[in-house]
Amino acid sequence: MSRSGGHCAFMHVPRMLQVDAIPIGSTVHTATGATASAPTFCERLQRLDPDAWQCLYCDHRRLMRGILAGHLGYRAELDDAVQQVFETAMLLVSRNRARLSGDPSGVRAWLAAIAVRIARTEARRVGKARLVDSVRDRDLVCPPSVEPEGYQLLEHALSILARLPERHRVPWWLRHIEHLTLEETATALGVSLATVKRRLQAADRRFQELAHRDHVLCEHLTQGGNHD
Amino acid sequence: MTERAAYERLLVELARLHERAIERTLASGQPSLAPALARVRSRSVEQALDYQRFRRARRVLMPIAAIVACLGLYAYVMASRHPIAVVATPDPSIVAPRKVAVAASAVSKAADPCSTHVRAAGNQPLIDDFEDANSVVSDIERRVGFWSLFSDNVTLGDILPLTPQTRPNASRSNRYALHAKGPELRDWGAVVQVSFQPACYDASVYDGIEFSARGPGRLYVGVREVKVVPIKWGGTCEDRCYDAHQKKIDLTSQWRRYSVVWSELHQRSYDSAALDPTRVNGIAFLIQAGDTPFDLWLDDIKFVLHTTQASH
Repeated sequence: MSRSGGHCAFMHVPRMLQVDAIPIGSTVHTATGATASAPTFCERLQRLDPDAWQCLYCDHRRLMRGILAGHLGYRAELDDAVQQVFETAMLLVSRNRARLSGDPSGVRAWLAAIAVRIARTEARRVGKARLVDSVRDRDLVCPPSVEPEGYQLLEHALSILARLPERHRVPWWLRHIEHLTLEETATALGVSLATVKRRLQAADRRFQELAHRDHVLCEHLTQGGNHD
Repeated sequence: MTERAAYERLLVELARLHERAIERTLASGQPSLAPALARVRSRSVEQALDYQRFRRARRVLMPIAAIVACLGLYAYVMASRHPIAVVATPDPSIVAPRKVAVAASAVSKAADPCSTHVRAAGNQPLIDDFEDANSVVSDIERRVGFWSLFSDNVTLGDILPLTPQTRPNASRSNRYALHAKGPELRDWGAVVQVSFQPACYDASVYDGIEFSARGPGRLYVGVREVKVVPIKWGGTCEDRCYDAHQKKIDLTSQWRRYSVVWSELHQRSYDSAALDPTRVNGIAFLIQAGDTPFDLWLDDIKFVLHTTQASH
C-alpha cells in the first residue's frame, strides 16, 4: 500500500499552508490505482463521499496507526484513535475549518498533525507508562514468528524513548520510525523546520546516550546489530 | 562501522520491528470508515438544525430588538428636547423657579436638591399629630414624607414605615402616638425619622421644632440638612454623612413637651456650621446604642413659630 497517498491537500484554515496549487484538471493517481482528476476527487472528499474517504483511510491508516502507537503503545484499541483522527478530519472539512489546496503531500502532514494532537490528548489521559507497558504485552506486539531478540530490542528502545521529553520523542518517532520528511514533521508538529532539526539533533544525542547505557541497545550500537 | 552508521542501522531495525508490530495490530482493526462518517454526518445535520433554529430565532428577535431600540432612541430624543417638567401650582409656599427642568438624563450627581425646594408658609406648624393613624406626615404646607424606624440591626431594604399606635393614656382628642421599641443595639443605635420629598424643605420661617415624648432614657432630636444626606438618597453628601444637627433630650417616664430652637442644634464635628433651616431634608430622633434597649413614644411634632417661647 502506498504511503504517500495524498491526492488532494487540505488547507487547515486557522493555520494556512502555503502550497503551490495543482492546475485544475491535472491528473493524479488515487490509492486504488484509478485515475481521477484532482478537483473531482477533492470535491468528493469535500462532500464527504464515503468512497473517497474510504480511499484516503486505506491509504493513511497504517501511518496514523504508527504515529498513535508512538504515543499510546501497540494497543488493540489503537484503531479507535485512528477512526477519531479521520472523524476529526471529516468534521474539519464539513465545517469548513479545512479546505482543499493543491499540495499533494499536504494531506499526509495534515492528517499526521491531527494524529499527533489526538495522540497527545489521549496520552495525557492514559499516562506515559502505557507506551512501555504495551510493548511488554508480548501477545499484542509480537507475532508468534517474531524472534525474541527483536521483541526485546523494541521493548528496550521504547523504554528509552519513554524517558525522552515529548518535544524530543515525537519528532524522533515521526522522522526515524514513520519516515516522515523534515517538512512533514514540522507541519505535523506545527513548528518551524529549524526547530524540528534542532529537536531531532537533541533527541538523537540523548537517545544514543541512553542506548549506550542499555545493555541490549549498546550491543547493537557497538556490534552493528544482528537482525538483518 | 562508525557510531553514526551503527545508530542508523539500529533505527532501521527498530522501524522494521515497529512495522511488524503495527501489522499485527492492523489485522484486528476496523477496515471501514463508515461508522466515523456516519457520526460526522449526524453531527453536520445537528449543526445545520442548530443554524436553522438560530435563523428562526433571529428572524423573530431582530424586529423586536429594532423596535425596542427605536422606542428607546425616540424616548431619549424627546426627553432631550422636552424635558420632564415639574410645574409648581401657583402656591405662594413654593419658591421660584416655578418651572424646573428635570430631565432624567440631565440630572447630574452634584445637582443641588434645593433648586426644587418647598418653602413652608409659616402659618401651619404641625408636622404630624399621628391622629390619622398612618405613617405619612400630615399633608400641611406641602410637607410629604413618612415615618420610619431604622436601626443598626436592620438592612436598608427592610426599613418599614412606622405606624402610630394607641397612646397608653389615650383621650378622644389625642388617641395615637408614634411608638418605637427595640432591643439592645451595639453599633450606632436606632433612629425614628422622616425625610421630606422633595429632598429640600425650607423651614426658615420657623424657629425650631417641638414635640411630646416619653422615655425612659434619652434621645437626640436632630434635623438633617441636605448636605449631610448621601447623594443617592437625595442629598449632596459624599463623605462622613448623617452628621445631623442635634440636641440631647433627657426623657422621663411621663409625657413631656420639649422644644428646641435651631440655634440649639449642633453637629458633632468641631468645624460644624450652624443649621441652615432653608435646606432641611428631614427630622430624626436618634437613640444611641448606649441607650438601648429603648421604648420611645413621640407625639404632636411641630415646628416652633416665631411667637412661641422656646423652652425646655
